[in-house]
Amino acid sequence: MKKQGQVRGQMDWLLFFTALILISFGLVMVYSSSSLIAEFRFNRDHYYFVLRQASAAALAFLLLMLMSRHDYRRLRSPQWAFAGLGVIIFLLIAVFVVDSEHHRWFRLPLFSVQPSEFAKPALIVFLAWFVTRRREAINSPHTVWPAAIALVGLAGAVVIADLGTAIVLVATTAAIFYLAGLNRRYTLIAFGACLLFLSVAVVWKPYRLKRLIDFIDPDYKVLIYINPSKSWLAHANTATVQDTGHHAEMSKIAIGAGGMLGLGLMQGKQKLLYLPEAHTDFIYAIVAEELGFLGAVLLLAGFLIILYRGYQLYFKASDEFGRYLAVGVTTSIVFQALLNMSIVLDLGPTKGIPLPLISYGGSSLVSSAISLGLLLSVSERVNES
Amino acid sequence: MDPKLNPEAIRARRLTGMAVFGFLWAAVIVARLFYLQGPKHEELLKHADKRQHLSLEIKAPRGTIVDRAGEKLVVSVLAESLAINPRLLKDPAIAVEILSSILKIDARKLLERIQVAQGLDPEGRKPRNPKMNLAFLWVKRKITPEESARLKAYKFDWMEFRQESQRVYLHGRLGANLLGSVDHEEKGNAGVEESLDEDLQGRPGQVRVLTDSRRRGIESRIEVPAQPGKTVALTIDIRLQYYCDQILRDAALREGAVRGSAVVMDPRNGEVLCMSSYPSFDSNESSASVDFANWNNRAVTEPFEPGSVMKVFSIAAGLESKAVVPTDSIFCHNGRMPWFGSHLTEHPAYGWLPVEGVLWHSSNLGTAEIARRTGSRNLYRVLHNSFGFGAPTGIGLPAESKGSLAPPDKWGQGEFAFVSYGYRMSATTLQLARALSVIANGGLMVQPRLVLWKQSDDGNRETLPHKAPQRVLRPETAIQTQLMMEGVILKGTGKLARLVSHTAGGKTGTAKIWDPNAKVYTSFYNGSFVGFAPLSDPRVVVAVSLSQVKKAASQVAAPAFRDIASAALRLKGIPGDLPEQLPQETPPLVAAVIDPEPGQPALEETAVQAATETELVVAPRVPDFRGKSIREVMVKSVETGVEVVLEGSGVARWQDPPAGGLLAAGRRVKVHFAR
Repeated sequence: MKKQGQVRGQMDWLLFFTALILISFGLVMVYSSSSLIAEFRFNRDHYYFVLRQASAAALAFLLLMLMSRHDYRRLRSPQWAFAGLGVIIFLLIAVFVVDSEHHRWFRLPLFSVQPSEFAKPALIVFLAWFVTRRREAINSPHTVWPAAIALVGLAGAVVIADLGTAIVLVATTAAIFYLAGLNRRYTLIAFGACLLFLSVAVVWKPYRLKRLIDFIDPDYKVLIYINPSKSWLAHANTATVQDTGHHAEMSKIAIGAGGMLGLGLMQGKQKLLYLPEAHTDFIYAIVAEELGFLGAVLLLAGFLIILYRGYQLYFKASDEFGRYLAVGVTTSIVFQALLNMSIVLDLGPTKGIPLPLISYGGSSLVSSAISLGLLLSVSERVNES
Repeated sequence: MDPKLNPEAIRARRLTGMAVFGFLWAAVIVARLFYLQGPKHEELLKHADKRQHLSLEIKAPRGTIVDRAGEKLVVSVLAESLAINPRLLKDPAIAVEILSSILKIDARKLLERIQVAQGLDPEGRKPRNPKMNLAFLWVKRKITPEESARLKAYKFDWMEFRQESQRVYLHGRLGANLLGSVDHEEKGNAGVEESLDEDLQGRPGQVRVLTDSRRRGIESRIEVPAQPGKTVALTIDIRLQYYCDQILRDAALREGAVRGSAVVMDPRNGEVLCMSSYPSFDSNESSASVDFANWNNRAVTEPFEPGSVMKVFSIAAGLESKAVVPTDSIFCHNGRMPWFGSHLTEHPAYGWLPVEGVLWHSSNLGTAEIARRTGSRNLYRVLHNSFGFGAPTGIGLPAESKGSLAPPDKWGQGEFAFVSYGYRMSATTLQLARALSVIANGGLMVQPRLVLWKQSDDGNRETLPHKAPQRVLRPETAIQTQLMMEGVILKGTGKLARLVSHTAGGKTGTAKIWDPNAKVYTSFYNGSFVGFAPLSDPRVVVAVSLSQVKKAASQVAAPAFRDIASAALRLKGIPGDLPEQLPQETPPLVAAVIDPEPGQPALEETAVQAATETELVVAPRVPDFRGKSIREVMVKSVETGVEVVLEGSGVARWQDPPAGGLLAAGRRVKVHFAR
């Protein structure tokens, strides 16, 4: 197996423990934020969500270990690349049919699976293989177009239900191609295409547009000027399940109430159904409320460690495939984390996107664990140099 | 892209750029976190507290009112109230039918209220006001346990039962006008409940409840414990209140009175033993069915022209200012007295009467004559300063009237005469009782008081300080007046007020009622009586007043006084000071003396009553001895049965009492002869 110099059989322990700590911390926070929600909103016992999350975490840890032991280079083949992509697209189409309401979940007897979450590792493997293969002709139309088609196909399938994940997919792809040496013309075209795609996605669903307007124009001054009869607003309100301006406000209150050192673990109060999605998309607000500025910054630091160590692997990885795999995985996890935190901090329009490794949600956790397993696998097989 | 760099270097640079972008983004997040959790922390924490916590008021139980013996008069108990959640109510028509049949409320009005709360139009279809979408609507406050049990059996989710404290007046209508009432929030709005509201209310406590967004409590902490209202003991004796209410009501019904009031006071310390009003109401009934006119505590809120009862105080003023002594003879002008260019008349007519006779027979002209001798200023001084007319009693009940008594420089020419016999001024029943207390008390003024003790903060009984009695009248004046007032009951207009086992003093008053709209005196009377007993050591003062009666006070108010005073003395355990005797026949009726309105000739009614008087009277009339010789006087004396005392010799020049009056039993006529 020794192709390019010595390979150290030692994984990146810092990365490994960071992942382990984040997953464990996620379990604690899921319990803290969900116990009362389980009781008050779902009439379950306190442990309902945390037990489900713990079983997902067990599976996630298993997969993480498996993936890190497994030699990532064996994935460097068109079979794996296309098989992953194909299966995900198939599942996405299947879920579109099966889940007629949200087009998001396969509801299995004991748990639900969200296939869009698994699009991330699948796309990253595909792109890493593809870019490696076409690295000498990255700016050729024969490279760009197939990649664009694959991305549009996948993102298009994801975006139907889950704009947040689609954004992460697009950002990851952009990062990989940018890194691979895409020239400025294509970069600009891709950027423009993304904007167009985003605009269409936003305008398509009124609740998305309303969230954007809530962020830009919270008092609806401009909106009322454009649409004096407020008919559009009424339409958007009926289409919106929850008031998103309320989301942002509740989130800010939770964070602010935490102060520097927080109210103490389990002592947060905004999770008493004030803050919607406290255990999923807005769990970072609960972290900030209960553990304060200190806890919130430490959690952010955990993701920055992943960013630093992940990007470092670009230089260390024993092959080209590993380099792009590492950058793709790192970008997808860290980008999603930063995006989630920004939304929670009301720095961007409200968008349903979980905080990787922390938020409640088995599919997201397992998918992130697979990605991190790949990253660890890369770190285990670096050049000695 | 820099062409000088090889692709590997470009990639390294781009990757560094991406990493820097990531760290910068993280820095923005840290900055934002710091901003929200540092400078904005206090503000947002306040926001959070406001949203997450409910401050609930814990109602303090309202204090109990007891009577002087500790008998509970008013207590608060828990009662349930029914509210509904109109949002959950899917079929208002059926709900209204159930509620109206059980709670006996107007179905149409309730349906309308529900539809308004739901924001619907009267047909219950189109949204009239979509914003109006209430989740809470009172249906009926304080329902009975039976109603509550029947409603709870339905187990409708839109029904909400709330515990509320309800005031219960244990004695129903007894003393209702005095005790007053409370509103829905248990705040006193009338009577003692209002005047002692501060003590009775207690202080509500505060509890802070951490709630979820649906306002369900998670945990609570008592911040301020509720302080229950204090127990307040009134000076009222509820047993006496019972008798007094009954007697007043019976008298009012018998005599056709429209309104009436009575007060019993202990003259030694001003404790009000009972205070009755007629008509009354039941505080336990919901206020909707109560006629608010009946809520007045008439004994303190409704002043009236007292009429002849004022003669007691006017004559006392004469005695106090030493203008007259009780034995002075007063010329009563034979029923027609020139008065500042006009005439004052009265019927029956009197000639010469001693001062006490003026009071016994309630002679207006005699009183006017005494008032003339007293003088306006002295009259006003004694009436106002000593007896407190025109000044509030300070008993502390809401809407107390101070009556009216204009100072003498506001009086018209000769108006003092009208004031002296109780017109052109007004007083409440309580003011009359207070004024009489001065006489009963030997000239000491006491402040009427209603509160015997209050529960203090440490739970002990706290007797309230009150004004010490003040001397306002010479003791001689008080005692002379007391004795004259006994004569009223024994010999004068107050014979029906005579008590079986106790000596007593009193005075009747029959005043025409002024119609302020028509500006005339009507042919209805205000019949009142003030009196005290026993004579030697007065322990109770009673003032009774009945309004809009057709008969004179001697027949209307005097018996009421007798009954109330007897009950009061019996309940206070005052031993009788008269020899025990077999029950007498009903005392003979005495002619009514009706005070004509000031400046007007005597009325026909009085003439009619005066005509019947001769048939009823047992006491002989005093013959006119004047101009007769001693022998003729002796013959006349034997004929009429009037005993005479002869003085001097010659022809009879004057006599006392004067001719024409009734001679009280055991009294002799003094005849003075001169040449």
